[in-house]
Amino acid sequence: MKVAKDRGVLARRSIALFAATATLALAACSSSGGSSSSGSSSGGSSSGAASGKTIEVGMDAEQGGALASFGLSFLQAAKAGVEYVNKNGGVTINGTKYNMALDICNDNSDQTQVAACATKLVVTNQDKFVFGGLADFGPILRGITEPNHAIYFSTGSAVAALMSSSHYVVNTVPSLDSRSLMSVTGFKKAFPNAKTVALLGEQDATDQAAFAALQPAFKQEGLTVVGTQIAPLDATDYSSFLTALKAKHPDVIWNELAAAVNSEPSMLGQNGSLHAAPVVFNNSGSCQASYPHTPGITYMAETNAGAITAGPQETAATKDYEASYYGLGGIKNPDPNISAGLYIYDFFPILAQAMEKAGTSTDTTKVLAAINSISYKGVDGTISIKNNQSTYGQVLCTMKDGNSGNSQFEVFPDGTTTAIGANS
Amino acid sequence: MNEQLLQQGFNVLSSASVYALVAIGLSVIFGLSGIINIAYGDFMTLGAYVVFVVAPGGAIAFIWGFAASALVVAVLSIVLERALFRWTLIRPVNGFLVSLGLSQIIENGVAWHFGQDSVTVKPADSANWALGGVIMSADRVIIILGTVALVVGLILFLDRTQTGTAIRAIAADREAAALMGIPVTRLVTGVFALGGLIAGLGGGFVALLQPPYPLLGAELVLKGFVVALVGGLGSVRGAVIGAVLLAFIETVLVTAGLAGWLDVIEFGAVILLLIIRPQGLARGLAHSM
Repeated sequence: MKVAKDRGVLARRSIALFAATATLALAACSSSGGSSSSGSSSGGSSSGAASGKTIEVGMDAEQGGALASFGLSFLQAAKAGVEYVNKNGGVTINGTKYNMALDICNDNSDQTQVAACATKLVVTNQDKFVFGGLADFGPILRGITEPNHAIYFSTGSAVAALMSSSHYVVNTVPSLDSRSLMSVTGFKKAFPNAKTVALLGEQDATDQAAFAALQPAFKQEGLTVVGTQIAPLDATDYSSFLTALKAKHPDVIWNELAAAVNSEPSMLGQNGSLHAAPVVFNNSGSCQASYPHTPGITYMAETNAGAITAGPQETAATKDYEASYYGLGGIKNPDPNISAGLYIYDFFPILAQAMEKAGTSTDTTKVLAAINSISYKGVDGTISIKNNQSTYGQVLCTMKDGNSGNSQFEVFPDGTTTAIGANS
Repeated sequence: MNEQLLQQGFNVLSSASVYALVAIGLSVIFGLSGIINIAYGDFMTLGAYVVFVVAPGGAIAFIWGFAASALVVAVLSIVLERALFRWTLIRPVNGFLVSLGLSQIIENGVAWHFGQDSVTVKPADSANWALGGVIMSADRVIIILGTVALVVGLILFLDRTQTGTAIRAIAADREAAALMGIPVTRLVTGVFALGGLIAGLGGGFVALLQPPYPLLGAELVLKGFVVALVGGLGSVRGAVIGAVLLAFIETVLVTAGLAGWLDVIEFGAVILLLIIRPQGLARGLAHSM
């Protein structure tokens, strides 16, 4: 199971080899800080985390390049999260009120620039808290936050795999095992008669880990894996993979291809004519996505977020999040990746609460201890954090014939669900 | 099992068509100018986006989309040849570097204007035909037939016309061709236009196969190079052979459950082939198409 994984990044590294000159030029530009500040950024201030009345939170954002579609959504959610904190009184530490501000650095989905951004945020600007760094960029960021004792709020599976050797990383999405179980449980609630599943993923560590984590969940829910296809990272035509899976007559194609870099839409379109299975389950999918309108195929998406973002089950907190998200401007409405922003949005008020509880914005050991003692009711529902690992429910949805509708429901870590929509 | 094999055979033909279109364009331009045009895949991306702009609703409007795509990319290619590539003909490596820069500019420009997410182009024809258990989408049939027509037309043009003969003469020896009175500069521009036209049409075909997105061409161009190298740089026939071979190997490996080894086997085979037969499977532009 992936969270905004970067199938394309590795594939495009090959191109980047050819593009070495351009990349180096961009990296040099970033290193000099030329592309780092925008939006609500406090700019290249080197004032430290709690200088004046502002606490700066670093944000390594993919504002350009292969991961920008998710990166921009994450940045928008971060801005909304900071706005939420400040609108609700900011951060009060030992009687002194601070506003939170984002210190943004654009890494352009380039690993060289990720390192440059991480250095700028953590070493130069002395930010004690850092968000961003999608997918395989996460470990690069972690490599700089960890020795500098800066707390890194990570969303990626690549960093999740390093949790055991990390002290200052907070995983803002539930663990792979937990999400796998909730996904499969949710799927079986929607399709109780399904018995066979075929896996389709990409040749990367994230999908390998996801497939391994799914096995016990499938077993628990009585699903048999009848086929697995691993596509190369540079694949563009998935028809041969789908044909091979179709021959196994699965009840569902369990899709791990990434929406972030457009392999998922390609595959879904190609499956529209091949009909490899009556149901396609999209992990880390979107309930706002434009799936192909294909009679006979039901799409299911697991959003990795804990909030229903459409229909009557939407909470007031979610509506506020959406209003803030779009109200900030600079992003299209509707944004299919708005739910991805929920991987981090709630963690800004969590961080604010933790700093208040710890009575410091600079002693990250104390702040981390406070984070691990907080149970926070946010847009994602009730979020609990233990051993730097967060846990909350997961929202899934079904779209019959590719039509979006009131079909979102939530699975909780204990296996219970909210009502499944009529469209399922 | 037979149905699966037949279906995979159909898949091979449609995948090979796209690979062939990328490789042919790369090959023809290389054969004449010696430039490895890494931006060629991005020209296809532009073509796909032109189709998106002109014919987002698909159906019959796709014809206009194809025409506009071919025209726009061909004109752009002429402009780029005149403004940039012409000055690099003496040192093709400079042309390669120019194409690198162009690639970055096109990818980022498209992303800036259209966004990073893919855009949806509705099918030219949404019909699916089932023949002997093989599902053939009308769009894939269009891609296959369109590619065949393009390849046949191109071979006839290069083999049977005076202009084609002149192009081959330039590929064989540019200076000698010039001494023979062949308008080398004009024909190089013409070949860039031809390459642009193929890229435009190819982009249109790709838009039928998958939703266009800014880095689509970057994905395709690597496969295009592999196909062109296997087939023999500068050879249209070789590009077709290489494309079918590549698509066939890929499909066999997928069917055998060895997709995880696909790139290793594929690129390993290419390296082996180039050691044994550096010129590729077919002879280049200078000899015959």
